[in-house]
Amino acid sequence: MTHPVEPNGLEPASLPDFIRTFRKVQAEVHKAIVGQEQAVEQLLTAFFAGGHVLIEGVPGTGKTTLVKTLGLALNLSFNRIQFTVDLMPADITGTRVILSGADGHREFSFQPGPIFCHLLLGDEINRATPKTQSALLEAMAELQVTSGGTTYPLAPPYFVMATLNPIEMEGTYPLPEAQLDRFLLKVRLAYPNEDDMVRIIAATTGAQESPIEPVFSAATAAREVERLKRLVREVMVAPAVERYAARMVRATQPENSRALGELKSPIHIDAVSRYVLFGSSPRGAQALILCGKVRALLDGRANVDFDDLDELAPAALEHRIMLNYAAHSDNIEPAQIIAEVVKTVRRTRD
Amino acid sequence: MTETKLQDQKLWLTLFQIEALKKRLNLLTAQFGLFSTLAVIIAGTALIYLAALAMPPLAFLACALVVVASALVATWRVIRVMHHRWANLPHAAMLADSRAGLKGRLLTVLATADAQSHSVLWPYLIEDTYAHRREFEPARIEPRWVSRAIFAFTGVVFALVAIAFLLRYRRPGLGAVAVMAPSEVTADLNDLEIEPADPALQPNVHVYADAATLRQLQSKLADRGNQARTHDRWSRWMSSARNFAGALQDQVTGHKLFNLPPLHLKLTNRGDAGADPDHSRQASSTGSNNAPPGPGGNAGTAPNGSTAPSEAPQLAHNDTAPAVNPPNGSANPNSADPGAAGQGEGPSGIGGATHSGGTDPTHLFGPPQPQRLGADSFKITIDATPADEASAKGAPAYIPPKIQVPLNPEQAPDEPIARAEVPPEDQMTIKRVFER
Repeated sequence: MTHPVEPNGLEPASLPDFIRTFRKVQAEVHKAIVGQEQAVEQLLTAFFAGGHVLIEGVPGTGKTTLVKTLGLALNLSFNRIQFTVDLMPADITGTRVILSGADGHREFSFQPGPIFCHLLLGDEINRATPKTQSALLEAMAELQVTSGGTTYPLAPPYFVMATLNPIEMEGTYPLPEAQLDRFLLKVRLAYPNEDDMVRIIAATTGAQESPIEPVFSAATAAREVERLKRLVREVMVAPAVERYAARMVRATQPENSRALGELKSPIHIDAVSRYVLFGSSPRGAQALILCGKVRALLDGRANVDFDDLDELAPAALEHRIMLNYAAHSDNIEPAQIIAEVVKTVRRTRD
Repeated sequence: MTETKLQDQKLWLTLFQIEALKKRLNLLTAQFGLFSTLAVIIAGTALIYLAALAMPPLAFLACALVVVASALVATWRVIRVMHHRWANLPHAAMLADSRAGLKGRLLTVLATADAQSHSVLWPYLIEDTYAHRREFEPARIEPRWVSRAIFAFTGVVFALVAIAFLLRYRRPGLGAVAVMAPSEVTADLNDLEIEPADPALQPNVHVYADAATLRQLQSKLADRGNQARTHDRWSRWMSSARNFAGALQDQVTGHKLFNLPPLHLKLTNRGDAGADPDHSRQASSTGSNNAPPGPGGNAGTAPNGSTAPSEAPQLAHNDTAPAVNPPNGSANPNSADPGAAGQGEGPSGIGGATHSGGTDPTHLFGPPQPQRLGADSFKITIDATPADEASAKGAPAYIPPKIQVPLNPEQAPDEPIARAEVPPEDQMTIKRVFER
């Protein structure tokens, strides 16, 4: 069997290759990160699906370590930006500086900022001003940076991991919806349990550290990752599953929660009508399907199933819905809304 | 080339199994529809038949309407469920995916089989799905060949057979009741309450009376007919409904339900009551208070024999409907008893069978009657509450007297209670109570 060669000459990897590579990277990351299995899997899922990840967790739960370890395991270039209130857009995108040549000739030259890498960690992104935050938008969405009227492409694979500190919210700038929507998944890092805590202590306070072995060589890492990402795109999705994803996303929108799509009998999701100000955008459905493809491959399937979407819905949709004041006063979390949506929409499988 | 051919064969086998599963599912759905509909129809028919046997016409009509409406709703629900269950290929594939835990493989194969260009993972999907072919064999996905609705159908049939058996067993009982009914009744015309006859019943009463009594009966019927004509349209509708229900009942049961022997009603007329116009008016108005209106009142004018010459007691054969119904207690079922038959005729016949008119205070008291077999006794307590129009405001409440009445152990349900001794000091009070 011969696989068709892609227009850019990149041949998709095989399904066994994908599973093997994924599990290997996962194992390397877990050398440094104890526990957090679901978070690590979601992070890798978003990475191979070609999206970006918003990581939320209290300080000390290994956010930075997680991202750093991923960079080491994949052998891709890695940069970290600590977002502060005085950070300027040029500080992350780069700026034009005057350089003098050997002949005394002086000219403007673009000095790339830390955004030019494969893996970018934006630490505490909500501490920067919206202007600086939005500097990430173009890079995340279009894989390019424009500075001084010139557009500079970013080398694929490009993966942004932004961390959010849910405490000490004073003086922070909540991410605008447009930027939140560009993150494929929102990964939560919870406090480790007692056993994991003991293992963390043993692993981090000893004299020896487990070295992270790169899965790919530096020369081929980017290409190999792109091949794996192409395979993800080859996973097949039945129209009924696509419709299911669309229905789920529309169900998060308050104006649509009463009548889902072309269903004869309208479905009323009371929680959405009462507590949701804005629902998910179509990017939510894209995220569901793309991440569902990765999950299908990991399960040894070449097709996406309804259950894949159900399991991914919290990570893919929670950060895309905006709750109203009634939800805040009633202590309603987005996770509760999404759980209700999944429970309701599950009954409408064709 | 060979690899592609093999792949096509595997795809064809996979699709064939989905098609076979679809056929089996639809067969079950068709059986469900058939058995459920039959069960509904049979159960509904049986209920209507039972109602026709056991209920009066209007109740039967209401019951039949409810049963028919319920049957229609049930049939509509069966059709909806059938429509919902009727499987096409994607539905069959989804069901197989769900029951065999194939995680959408069949659905995806089915959806992408006709695509122009396939994914690089298409051969893998075909091979992977074909490897699970034993898990989605139609017999494993849906092992049943017969729908569970057959249980409902069988249950209804068994119930029907059981009911038919019980009805056959009980049928002689109904006949026995008909035979036990009295064939001759004597009643006083003044005690008669004239009510519209049930149109579902056939005329089955022969009225005997002398000419004067028949004339009075005719005038009473005419009076009742005038009252009936003044009633509203609702009454006419009710009568029409009763007519329709009776005819329907006869059609359903296939026979006349109350096929009783003809009843011979001998009418008498007390001389003093007939001569007293006030008394006649009072009796007439009392009867009309309880009599529902209807065409039976008009039909009651049927005894044409009342215009016959006044010799001898005459037969007024009611050819249309039994318009004359004696009130409870006014008819003496033991017409064979000469003493009882004579009570309504002579001057001494004021008591006994006639004093059950009750509302006539002039006949409340008289000499106590000896009981034939009086052994036990019972008490009648008349509760009278002081009203605003009491004679003296603030007077002590009236305590009703306790009157001992010997009990006749052979007392028939419709036989008047024998008159008892009433203390003289209480007679006026009781009379006032009855006057009110």
